[in-house]
Amino acid sequence: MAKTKMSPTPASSVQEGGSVFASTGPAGHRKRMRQRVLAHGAGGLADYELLEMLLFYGVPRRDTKPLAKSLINQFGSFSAVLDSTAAVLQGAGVPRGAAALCAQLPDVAACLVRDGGRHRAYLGDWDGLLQYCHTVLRAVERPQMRMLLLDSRNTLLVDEPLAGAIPTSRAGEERIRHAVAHVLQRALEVQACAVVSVYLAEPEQDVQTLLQNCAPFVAGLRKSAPLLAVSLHDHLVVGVRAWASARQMATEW
Amino acid sequence: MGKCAPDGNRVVSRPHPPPGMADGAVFFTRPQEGLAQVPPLVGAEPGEWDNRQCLAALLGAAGMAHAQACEKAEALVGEYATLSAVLAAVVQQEGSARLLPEAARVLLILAREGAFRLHRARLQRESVLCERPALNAYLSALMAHEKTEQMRVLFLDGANRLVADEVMGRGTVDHAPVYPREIVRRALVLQASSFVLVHNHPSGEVQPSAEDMCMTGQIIAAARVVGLCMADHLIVGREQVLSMKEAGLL
Repeated sequence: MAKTKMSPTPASSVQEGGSVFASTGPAGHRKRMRQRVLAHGAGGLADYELLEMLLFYGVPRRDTKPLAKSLINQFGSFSAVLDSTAAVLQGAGVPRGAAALCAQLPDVAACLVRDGGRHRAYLGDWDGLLQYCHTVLRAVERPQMRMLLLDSRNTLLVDEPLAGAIPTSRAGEERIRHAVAHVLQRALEVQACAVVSVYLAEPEQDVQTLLQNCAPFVAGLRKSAPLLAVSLHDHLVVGVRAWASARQMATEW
Repeated sequence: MGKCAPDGNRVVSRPHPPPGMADGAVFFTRPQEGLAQVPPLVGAEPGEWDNRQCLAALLGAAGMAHAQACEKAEALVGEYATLSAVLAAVVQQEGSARLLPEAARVLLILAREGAFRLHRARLQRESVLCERPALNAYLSALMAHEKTEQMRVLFLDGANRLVADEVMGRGTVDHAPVYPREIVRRALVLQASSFVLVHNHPSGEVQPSAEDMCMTGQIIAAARVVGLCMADHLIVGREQVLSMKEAGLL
């Protein structure tokens, strides 16, 4: 194979030059370790490797492994290093930025324990759902389709716009299939158990007509969702004064 | 009652409705007791600001300009609700978290792992069972925000010190598989003298289901055969960790 000169610029194209190692030396080492972490997570790193990589963020270019190892030796353990203050770490030879980062990890650890999900809305009944539509969704631009993705307790995981499923009297089949696929893809992504779709109508629009126009989309979603163990709780059309529910209209849901 | 496959495979939570399926029957019925009031929809909690600050600082350390880091942190915590969920999404490469620059993603993964190790280190000093607040903190950090059930086993030595901590089963949104045989086999390999079973309820509630109770009984019986002891079974919810032993359920 012809010997090609590696151009120094494309740091991201590992596969392209035909070489197994796009670069060697400390920069290549950092890149390989980053790729490893992105692909396999950080669980498999030894303590000194984890510290070595954290030090990347305050120590440009230089090999940080010797510093990582000497810190662990000096303080006694990985956790003892991170439990030290930034000033102490700087005293031990850690550059300022890296010292600040290490000293911040106990805060991160504390943050992970604290709960932040309590304020999520409960949408498992009419009251909750309609209150949500009339408060949070009130400010949203109309007309618009929204999907509400819920967990197994019917608390809200995600509320986002659903483009492409706007009910016109003849929405293309392809477009509907696309919208259904998008809803279910998002449901799997956020590990949702249930979906409520809500169409926010303009004041002058008739909610019943809109509900009928939504029928192909609702039928498509009702058919596909159970295949992925997602339940479609309802499809609502919410106007300013009136609202309509596909679940209530259906003879059998 | 519960279904049990011949190979001893058990589901942790109730087998009905089918795995991953929300119970449509509860929808649009009156909420159960305790769920009656709709939670406030606006108003940040004091803890949330810390989540944002923390994330902004990490993004800043990864080379993002201060204003951009704050803006990004605000958006991500807004989308995922907690720092924990943001970090989990980065690891799983899900949603908008995967659009962060590579340097930031790597740092967030490292920070998460570093935080877990800090919690674990606080445990390893003494008997795990005597360090309940530290144990609960560790398990909450690891599992309280997981969106699927996972079964974790803490293997302990004769002095109740942590020998190993392993995930023995991952499931779906409302159940996880458990193999008593594998737990016992692993305990023997590690020469553990007892173990603590831990699993999370993504719904956030800690009440054990009938299936949880039944499966616990089976594992205790399996362990006893080879002279092992199950020290406790913990259920990690969103806000608390339930000890089945302390609750008198063992």
